[in-house]
Amino acid sequence: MLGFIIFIVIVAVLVIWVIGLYNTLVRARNAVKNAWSQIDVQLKRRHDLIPNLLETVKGYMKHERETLEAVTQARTAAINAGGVAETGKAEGMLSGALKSLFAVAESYPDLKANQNFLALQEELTSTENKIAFSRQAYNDATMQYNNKVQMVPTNIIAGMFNFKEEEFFEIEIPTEREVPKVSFSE
Amino acid sequence: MWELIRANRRKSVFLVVIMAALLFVVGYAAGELLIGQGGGVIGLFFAFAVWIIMTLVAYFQGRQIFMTVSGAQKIKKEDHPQLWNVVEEMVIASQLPKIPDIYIIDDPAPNAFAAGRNPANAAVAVTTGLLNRLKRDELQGVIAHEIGHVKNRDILFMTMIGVMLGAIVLITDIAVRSMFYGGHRRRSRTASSGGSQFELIILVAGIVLMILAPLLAHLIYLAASRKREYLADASSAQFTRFPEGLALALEKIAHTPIKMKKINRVTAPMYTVNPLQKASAKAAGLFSTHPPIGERVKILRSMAGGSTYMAYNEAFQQITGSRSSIVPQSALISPESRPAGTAPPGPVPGLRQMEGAALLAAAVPEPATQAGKVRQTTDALWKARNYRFIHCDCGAVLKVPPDFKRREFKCLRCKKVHSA
Amino acid sequence: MVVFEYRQIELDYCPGCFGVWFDEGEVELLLETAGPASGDAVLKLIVVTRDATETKRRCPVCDKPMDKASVPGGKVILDRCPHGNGIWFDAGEFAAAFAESAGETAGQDGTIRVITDFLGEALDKRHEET
Repeated sequence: MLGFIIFIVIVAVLVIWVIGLYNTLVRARNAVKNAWSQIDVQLKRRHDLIPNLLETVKGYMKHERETLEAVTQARTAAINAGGVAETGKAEGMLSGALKSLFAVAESYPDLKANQNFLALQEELTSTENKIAFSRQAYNDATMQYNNKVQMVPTNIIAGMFNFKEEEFFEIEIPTEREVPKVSFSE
Repeated sequence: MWELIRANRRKSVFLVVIMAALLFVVGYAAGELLIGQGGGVIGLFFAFAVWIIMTLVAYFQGRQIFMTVSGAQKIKKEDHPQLWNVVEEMVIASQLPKIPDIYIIDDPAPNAFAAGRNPANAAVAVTTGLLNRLKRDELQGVIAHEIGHVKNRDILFMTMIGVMLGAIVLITDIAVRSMFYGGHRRRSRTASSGGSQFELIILVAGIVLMILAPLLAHLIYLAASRKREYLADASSAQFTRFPEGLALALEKIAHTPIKMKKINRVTAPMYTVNPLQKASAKAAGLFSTHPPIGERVKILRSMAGGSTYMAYNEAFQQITGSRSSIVPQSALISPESRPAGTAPPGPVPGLRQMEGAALLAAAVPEPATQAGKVRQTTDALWKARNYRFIHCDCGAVLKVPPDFKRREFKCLRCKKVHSA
Repeated sequence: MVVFEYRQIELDYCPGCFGVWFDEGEVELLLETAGPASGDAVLKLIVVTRDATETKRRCPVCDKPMDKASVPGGKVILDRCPHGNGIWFDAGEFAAAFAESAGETAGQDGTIRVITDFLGEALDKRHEET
């Protein structure tokens, strides 16, 4: 009788332990998914901000039609892009187009004094940061999750319930790494 | 990250149990000493009641009390978009579920703190002095440190353990005081008439305990606090992928001679940099809540292997010569600990590596002059207090308090009359 | 108090009594923006006078009684916070203090001139009394 009770207890503890491990895996996988959707949220936010920016800038930058059009086109391409690889590339193009727009804006003192423009610039560059940080968070979450899938003891559970490793977010445009260091010393 | 929080929680429970045991022993001893035989149970009960009440107040009202005591002003996004964005960026990097409430404290000394019982109820506060002095990168390092406190559940733990420290101090204080005023006399009379040596030993032991307990509790509290500061620094490096930002900010804070106005011993451990400690202090004494700034900067600067928790831990052990880990072992995954046949994770691409460091803060517009930066900060305070902004054509700006009775304002410069 | 900002420098202005509070931090900012970083706070250049008979005011920041002071060569009595929080000008003192000092100290003290120039421009002293 006593042996049976001990057996039941051991089984119960084991089951609870397995449930616990399973739940940590689910939590880690959800963190990955959540981080991925955060990237989309920030990309969408950037798409929404661009028309406002163009509207503000238009009056000042009369001779920069090409730069403005490049941004518009890149935005359209980014919105219509499908698939991870294509989206990544299109969004990279959009980042580049925005960067050159802000670079050109440097030579328009009136524009730089415009409160609306400054607010939009802060908003857009911060959104750019948020996109990058959400990718970073995605990679962090993916590493956490992948470690769990690979390491004892969670790897046993992962194998049983078909938890697969997720892929890291790779840089789409290698040239982005070589952005020259802009000094902004006071 | 989960490992970190869970290992933290395990350690926290352990420390809380020790503190609780200390509290109950103190309560029991105080009861025995003051009331006499059998009074220990009453003392125990009293200690328990004090603890429960203080904990409940701290849990539900702690943040509010904290913000009121330090004179913090809650802001909206429009009040200071840059600060708001920096916080939001760190929330994304740390994967917190929600943006904490953001407060500004009108104080020229640069500092920041986090409060709130859990990530869903968290708040971060920064002083105007901090906003005026730091560049965006540096501010981000400080905010990431505070978000680290939120993420690692430091605030709840430090509050709980702080409450127990407070309860222990309170009870021993009451016991020692009342022993001086009469309790002791009654006690010694029974001792002389009963004459039991055993009773005398108990008495002496009780008094020694009354003196030592608060000290011991204080030491536990401070050691826990220091360790969590290091951990929050490690989190800051991990979230920003840029340890130099926090290092620069810490240096600037350390070199500012201004002292904070509304600071007391209770709120001090919550700040990024201990506002009561002298910047020149070289060693972390047993009685400091924060590690010395110089050491924190040195650790951040010698993080050779990237910006991960592991890199911080290595730098920490190298600089302090300590063998203990700041970060729990389970969060430090090295390639060797992986099963054979699986690929090592390699450095996880972070923001700085992915986009090039220059892209970040360099592109974000910042006020060109110090005056512009100060205006950005004070304007945030005015807006948070619902001041009305009237822009005059002559270039001047009038900022009018919300409870101001007059409806018309004359510009001081060009005498143009504006109506509200 | 209404806050008045001009060229990114703030003054606190009382529309009831026409007094003006010039905060120490703002004075420093002004000197920084103006260029000649003399380092010396302007408050030290305004000399404390002991023979003033006006009643003492309290500092709006630290609530301590303020010293009576005057600009070198000037006849107007100002109120200066002993803890370096700022300067208080009664109604009209602005114009008076700087009308005279602008003439007398011109060329001799850069720091004061920066401030007089700014205050003159910011408040347009010709109309201040109205």
